[in-house]
Amino acid sequence: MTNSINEQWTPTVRFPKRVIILGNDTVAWMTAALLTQNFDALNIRTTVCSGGAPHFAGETFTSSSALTGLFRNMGVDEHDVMKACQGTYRLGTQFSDWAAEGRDFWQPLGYEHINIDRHSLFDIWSTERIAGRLLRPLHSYSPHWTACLAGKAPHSFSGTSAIGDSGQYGFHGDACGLADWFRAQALLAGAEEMAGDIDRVFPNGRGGIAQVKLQSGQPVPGDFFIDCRPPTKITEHEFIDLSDRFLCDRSVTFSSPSQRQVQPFTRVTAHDCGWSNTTPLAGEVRHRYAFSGSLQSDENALRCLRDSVSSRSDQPLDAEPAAVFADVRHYCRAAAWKDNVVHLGRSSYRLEPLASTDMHLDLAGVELLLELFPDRSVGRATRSEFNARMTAIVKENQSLVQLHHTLTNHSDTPYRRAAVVAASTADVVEMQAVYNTTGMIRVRNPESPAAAQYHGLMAGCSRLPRRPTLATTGMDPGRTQQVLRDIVKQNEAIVKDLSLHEELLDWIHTGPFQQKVG
Amino acid sequence: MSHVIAICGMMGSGKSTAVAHLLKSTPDCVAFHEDEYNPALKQSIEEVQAWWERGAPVGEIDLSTLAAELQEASENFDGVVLLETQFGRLHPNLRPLIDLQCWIDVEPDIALARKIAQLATQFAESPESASSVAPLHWLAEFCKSYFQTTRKLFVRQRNDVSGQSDIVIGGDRSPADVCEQVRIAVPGLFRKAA
Repeated sequence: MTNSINEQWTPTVRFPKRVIILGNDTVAWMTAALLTQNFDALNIRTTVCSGGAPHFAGETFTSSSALTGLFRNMGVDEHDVMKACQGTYRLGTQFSDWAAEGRDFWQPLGYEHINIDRHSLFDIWSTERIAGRLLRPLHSYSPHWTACLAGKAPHSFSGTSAIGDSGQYGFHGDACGLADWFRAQALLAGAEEMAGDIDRVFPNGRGGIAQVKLQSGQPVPGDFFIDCRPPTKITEHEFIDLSDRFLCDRSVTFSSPSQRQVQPFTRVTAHDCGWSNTTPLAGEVRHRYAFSGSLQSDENALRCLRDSVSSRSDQPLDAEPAAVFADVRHYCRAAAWKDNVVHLGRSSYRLEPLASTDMHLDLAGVELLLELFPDRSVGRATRSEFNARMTAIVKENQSLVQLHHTLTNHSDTPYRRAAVVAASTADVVEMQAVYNTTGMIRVRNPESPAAAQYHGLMAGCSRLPRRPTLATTGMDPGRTQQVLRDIVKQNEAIVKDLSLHEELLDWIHTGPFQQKVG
Repeated sequence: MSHVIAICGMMGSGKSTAVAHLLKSTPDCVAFHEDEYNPALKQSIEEVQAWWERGAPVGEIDLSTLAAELQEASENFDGVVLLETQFGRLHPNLRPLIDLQCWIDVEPDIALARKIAQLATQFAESPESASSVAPLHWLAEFCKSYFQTTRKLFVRQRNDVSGQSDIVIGGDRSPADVCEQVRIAVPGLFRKAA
């Protein structure tokens, strides 16, 4: 995505004169910032109706490399963003007790870029593993995993780094902080904000919106609306309920002080009645446990999370941490674009953030909207294209999350048994059947999680295909082993010069001239 | 071509017993013991304390000899190479050589009790020390250092090394059971002795 509007170009298509964005979260402000920055030559007036308390206070985000790519395309300094949202770097996810109790595996970022003689790392690795010539886990060939173990950031103080240059890293951060940063970018680029709560939405008679009225009585008309608000009781009939797929309907969240080492990765842990994730931020660590409210009380859920956190913490936790409980709903829309209204983010879908793909999905939606940005007539073909692609992307992300649940073997509890059944939809079962036979995972959309991510999950849960990929069976095992050994050595060399994560964060968040001596 | 399996755990977790058990019951298996190469074990309590206050940088401990011998064994020996180690992948020299890492997990108080029991048994069985108070003094120093440094090291080791392991095995099981868990984790790798 670039500022590609040629100054010499004379618009013959009538674009919307006024775009109204409803919502105040990261997606709303990200959309506003990108619209104003990319389409400034089209003289589109962008207004954000940002009323209402943020529905995402206290939430964190975990991003893939897509957000890094966005910052680079916007030409912004990632350090500025990180300062605004207590940001830390993210090189992957550690899954603890997922494949079985006491077993860990990792999903490093950038898996899809490791190839050997035009074959994917997984094809090579699984061939050797099936033949019994290899013991090392798949993830141990990733430089990101090596960096996670060494507690390193993707960048070096002293110069360039392979991981940093590739852009294959993500961030953790506070969702409100990131929304505020995008808000500042949007306002700077010319977007306007109307802060009052929305009192009423006036339909246009074609299934779209004519205008909204704020509580102050002020009408806000527009010819194109982007709705990023979560469902309300009035709108909930518009959504497909996914509570029969994802059984965690409650969550509890609390923060703990920063650890001695700030981990450059997200940790996901399986529990008897749900799963938790740990997100390291600058200055604190946030913990969230999603659980089934019908199988576990709030009190027991908090105890479960607290025990899990304290067993891995090198600092004592508060006896009674300030915990926040919330109901959780998972849903999606059948069609995200209707007449002159497009729904993005929480207004379109909410999946379990188990595979850390939510930010990736948000960004894919915004970029797809910019790609298919309509003229004032908003043609049916454009809507259909957007809806078809967005539905497919959401569906594939949903399948990936469901696959996580079908592969878990943490414990034999009522929740675990029910979660496996709920997640085992026909498409997920078929995907596993094809994989079991051929080792192949077919990903249909370029914006969806890469096949390497599915392979990493399968391999991490000790699911190998019945036979190796035919293309790799004829390779010389001696040479393959040597190449794999060389990859491990090369990864150590890559990581050696990287900065320690906490030292780089200290530099970013404290400033180079304000660091504490010693 | 061999496979290097690191058996990690706190002092007193039972890793030596597990390694000995695996060695005894498995042909084509050799073992390396980090303690035999670790110069830090000869340091005074004050030196260990100073190291701790520098942030306990594991990479400062010179294990290059162990790494070189391990590398040679992994390339030239055809079987299973066991590595009994406190640090495992936490040490930058060992990390690239370890194919699979098992952490034997015990509560610190159990680890300490086991170590004291082991030392006391050694003293009691040694004719020179049986009639001397010196071993008691040594044991007292050991316990004092536990309060000052060792306990903190245990906690950190349990977080860091365990967090980098592929498999965590409960160390309150019998040695045979612990070994069985390692065998289950790598089916087909350990051939039992005839």
